[in-house]
Amino acid sequence: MPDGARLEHDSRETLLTLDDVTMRVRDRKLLAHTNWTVRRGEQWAVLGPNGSGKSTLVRTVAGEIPSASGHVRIRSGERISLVSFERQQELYTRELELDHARHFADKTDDILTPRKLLGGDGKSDRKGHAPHGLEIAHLLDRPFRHLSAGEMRKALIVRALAAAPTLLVLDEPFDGLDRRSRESLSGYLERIISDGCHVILVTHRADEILPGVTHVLALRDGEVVGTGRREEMLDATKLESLYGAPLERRRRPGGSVGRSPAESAQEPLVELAGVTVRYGEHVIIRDLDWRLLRGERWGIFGPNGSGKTTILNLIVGDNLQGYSNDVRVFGSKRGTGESIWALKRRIGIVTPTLQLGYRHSITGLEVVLSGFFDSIGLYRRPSEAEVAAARRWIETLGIGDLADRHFTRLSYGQRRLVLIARAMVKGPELLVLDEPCQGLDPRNRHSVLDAIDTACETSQASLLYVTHHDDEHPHCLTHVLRLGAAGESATVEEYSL
Amino acid sequence: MAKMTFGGVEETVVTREEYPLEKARDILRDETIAVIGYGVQGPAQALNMRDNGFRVIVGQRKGGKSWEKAVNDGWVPGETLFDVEEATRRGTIIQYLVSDAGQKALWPKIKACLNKGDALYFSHGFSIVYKEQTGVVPSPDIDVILVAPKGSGTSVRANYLDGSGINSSYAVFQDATGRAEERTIATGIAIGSGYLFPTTFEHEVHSDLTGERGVLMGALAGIMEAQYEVLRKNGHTPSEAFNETVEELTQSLIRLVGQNGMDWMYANCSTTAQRGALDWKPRFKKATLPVFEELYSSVINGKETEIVLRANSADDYREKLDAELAELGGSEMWQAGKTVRSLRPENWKK
Repeated sequence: MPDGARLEHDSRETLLTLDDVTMRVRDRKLLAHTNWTVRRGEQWAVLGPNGSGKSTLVRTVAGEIPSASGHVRIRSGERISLVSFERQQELYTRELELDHARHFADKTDDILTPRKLLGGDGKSDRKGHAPHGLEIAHLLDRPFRHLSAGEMRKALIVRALAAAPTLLVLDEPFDGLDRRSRESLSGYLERIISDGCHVILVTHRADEILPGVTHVLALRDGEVVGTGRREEMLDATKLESLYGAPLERRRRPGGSVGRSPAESAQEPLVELAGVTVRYGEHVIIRDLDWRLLRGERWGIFGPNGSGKTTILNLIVGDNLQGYSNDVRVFGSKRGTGESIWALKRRIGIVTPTLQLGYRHSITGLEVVLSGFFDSIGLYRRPSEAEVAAARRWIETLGIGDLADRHFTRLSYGQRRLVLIARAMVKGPELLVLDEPCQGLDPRNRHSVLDAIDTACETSQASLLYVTHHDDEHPHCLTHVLRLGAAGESATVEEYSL
Repeated sequence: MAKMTFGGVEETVVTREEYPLEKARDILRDETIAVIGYGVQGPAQALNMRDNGFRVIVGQRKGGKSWEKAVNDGWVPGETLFDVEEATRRGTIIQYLVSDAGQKALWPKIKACLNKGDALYFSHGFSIVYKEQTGVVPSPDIDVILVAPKGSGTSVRANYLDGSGINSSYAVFQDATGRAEERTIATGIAIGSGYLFPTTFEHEVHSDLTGERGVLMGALAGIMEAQYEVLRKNGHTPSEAFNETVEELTQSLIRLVGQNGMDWMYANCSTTAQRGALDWKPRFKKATLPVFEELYSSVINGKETEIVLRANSADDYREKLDAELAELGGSEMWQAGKTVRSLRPENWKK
């Protein structure tokens, strides 16, 4: 039997066995000598800090990466489906590459849509319907790359379900989904589990572990540090020691909680007047009036597709309809001779799309340095002072070990931390953070939120902050813009917990 | 302008370090740039210039998909989006970014709307170089200029947004205002060029036409077919013949050539491959040199253009073309390629 083989077997009771398996990603060996057995009727959650090897483990199970040694045994007849961030990135990257061919052939309309991705309308899952709340009918004919991160995730989940899997491997499936979608998805997963489908769930959030999960595998630093039944594994003390951090973020003493800098004049940094964004018949934002004064820290909340990201993009210059609307940023109306680089220079940005954009291999430090030029990739030579500033932020966020590693080889959560340093490095007047905690373990989540609060306390920086989770609000928020479903009217309120 | 040495030959290059955006904005401060055609190159260049803070308007036939796309991209009908003639009248630099065939057809309308002192801008020199055949003859009181980005519209936009820029060549065909060159370079910077290489309309077109007929497509497909045929005639299977002719080239070799050059490839292969490739290279060169000579003169004397324009205007052009393409697509080699591609590791699970 060759080493590193993937074998089928006929046992009735055992779905999956990893027998002394060592994984390999490019030239790195990971998760040396791993043993793991999944038996019939068991539903597993895989937990561990960022970069501990969770995605590598489940990708090996799904057959996406080969094991370097040992044996992976799968019960014959199992149909495995995987939903993962890597899949999403792969599709997104391929879309961009195909653009060259499309432009060459002058066929720019031939783009990937959820309908093409699904090879149909996505209703052909085992029950004949997409899960309630994950309906994507309204997204079917939109360009895949224009979907929000949460919408892309929904399309991939529906695709995975359409294959009627017997073993469903979900790597952070709830990321980017609004509360209602998360509840629908978990309800749906509970139902297919009771129908006999097996589930392996990777998650960073204890509250996302489905009630039906029976077992937990814990990883840390590329090693399995524990497996066992749910009751014994989901013990708060054990989890805190696994993550090296408390599960709940502690309220920091002192701190300027929810307070705008006292001297803040009534200087508007952003003004939207009667803003409407539409694509043909599809209205994303309707007639929105809103403004942000210097020093204010706003949370923008609302369901998937309600226009949160669109608002951010109008402000940072990435939404082209900013030019056909009355959008004023730093006092000047868009389309009156300003360049987007002049805007970007004053804004620090972290978004899931930005993270997808870094596809070339550069180091963590170089990614942080690219913040000085607002480039995706580093194309100019930074000064010594800039390098020093970048290193200071890397230190502040406690990610010194990532500085010299290749960005594209970091875990999802590690990449996010590097991007936060990139946003902070130039001392922006306005911070725009679109789900900055997505994909982060409790410890990193707390350091990111602490870093945001620190930035707000020690500077005049204003903040625009998007999240789907109540426990991901930084303490420094002062106001809330609450958006309804697509095109419905928005409300504005003072922030209170 | 900076001097750079390419293989021992010195060339002049404009860099964005010596020619910052601010300088371009200053030179074009009183200009309105009208982008005619919102198809492939048009959107990329128009969006980049607008994002750089230049005054840009779009000219596009009303109704239709491209008009709708322009509206989605934030162009406002009556303010920054007009029909072709109105945009041409309003612009001072008119970027003529429709297809070669479209340029010929649309020219009488454009010509009537150009004003004295305007600059007529191209990203491909075809219509001007072959003006006797295309009829695109601008009056002597306007500038005729060119900036040709070395990449698709997609790269022009994507590289701009990620902050890297794209390299372009530029040329002046006619300088009526005495400002033609500075307008050209400033517009080149405005559309997001990193480096700008000087050329002429003729050289841009002649190298382009020679390249696509030669190494880039015509010659490449031709020698692939020849090698494939010989391998097949001598008993090799289609998959083996395809792998040795196309697959290894496209999947590994050409990427290494892209990164390191063919010289590196020669220095870093097995002795067997190295000896043979060194010995056979001169023989292929000798065999093809006369064909390239013939090709180049056919480009220069306008014969190639004549063929294209005549074929394009024939009533049954589409049918004849479809038949030719079907023959190529149905050939054993490219059918074999379809199967070989489906067996690539990354496609196993699809």
